[in-house]
Amino acid sequence: MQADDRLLARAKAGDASACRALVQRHQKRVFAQLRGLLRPSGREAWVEDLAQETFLRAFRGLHRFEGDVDRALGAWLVTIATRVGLNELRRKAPRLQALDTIEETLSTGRADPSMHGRLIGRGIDEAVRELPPAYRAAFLLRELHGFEYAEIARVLEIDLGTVKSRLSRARSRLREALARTRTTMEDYHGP
Amino acid sequence: MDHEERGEVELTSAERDVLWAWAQHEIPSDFAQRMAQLAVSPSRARPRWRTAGWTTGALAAAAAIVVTVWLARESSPRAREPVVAAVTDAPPDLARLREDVRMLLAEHCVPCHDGDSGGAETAALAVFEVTDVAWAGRLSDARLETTRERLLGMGLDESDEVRVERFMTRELTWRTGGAG
Repeated sequence: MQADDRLLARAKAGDASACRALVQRHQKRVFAQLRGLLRPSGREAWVEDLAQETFLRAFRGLHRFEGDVDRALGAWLVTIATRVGLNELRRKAPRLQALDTIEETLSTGRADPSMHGRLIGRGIDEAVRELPPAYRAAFLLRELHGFEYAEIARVLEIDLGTVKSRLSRARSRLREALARTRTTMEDYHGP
Repeated sequence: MDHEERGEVELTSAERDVLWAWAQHEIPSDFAQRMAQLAVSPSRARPRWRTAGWTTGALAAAAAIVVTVWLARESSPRAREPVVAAVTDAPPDLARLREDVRMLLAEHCVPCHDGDSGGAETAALAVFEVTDVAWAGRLSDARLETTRERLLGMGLDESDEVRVERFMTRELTWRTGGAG
């Protein structure tokens, strides 16, 4: 039995250190999926709680999981996180976070070193926010986690053709946002 | 080339890097440790965002359960049997089987039997709660049999059906004083 198989077997048996190792291995992608889903709706504050819910659900069903500890388990966890995140988005009305102060910073000329990153973040927020939750999830599953189209359609129970067209639009929006950020930075600093 | 056409093209690795950086979230250093603790004792899991309403909710739920159980006892000649065994009294192999079946219940009997979910039903919680590690000891033999039938009617995997049957046999044997 390989080391990863042993790790999974120990986690299934309720070994705390093995469970911890699995969480450490996959927590970044779970958090990323949840943040990507929730942040554009102003619910970034829920990310940690929903990540906890994701792992708890996973541990409850871990005895039934079969597959490798890396790709398959990671995909499974991201799928659970997606469903948990979508449930959250369905449950409550969106509450947008206060807008940041990028425009103020630009107008006063006090640009801080992280302004570029903030501008990009803002642009991606806007691009992703335009997507209905299910397609936002599809976009993140594809672009962050490398899911196949058919896998996305199955996980989200949406039409494959619609997935492709929505992702196409989301990519366009993302590129527009990145282009706008470049233009803004060049206007400020010069090309 | 218009934007829609460009959108057909997959993101470049640089664009994906930007997206990945955007999605990064600060993870508390003790997150994995906390999750591991919850994994081995899931009844301790209480998402923070629910905590505020939990005290009030728990009191209300407890009162509702007491009333429901009391009414059931008063109205039914087959009054609910007393708790037959605390979880700590069970031998290790039975405790493991109980936990296996509790995981199945947690998977198939939510939200009605999950006090943490918004969809829990008071009457269902009065029978058992999936977050209660001592769940089996609170069920009468008759209730256990009903639970078994309902679980087996849910299209479990063969291995899970075997688990349920092994648990039932071991539990009932132990209750009647058998070593198993």
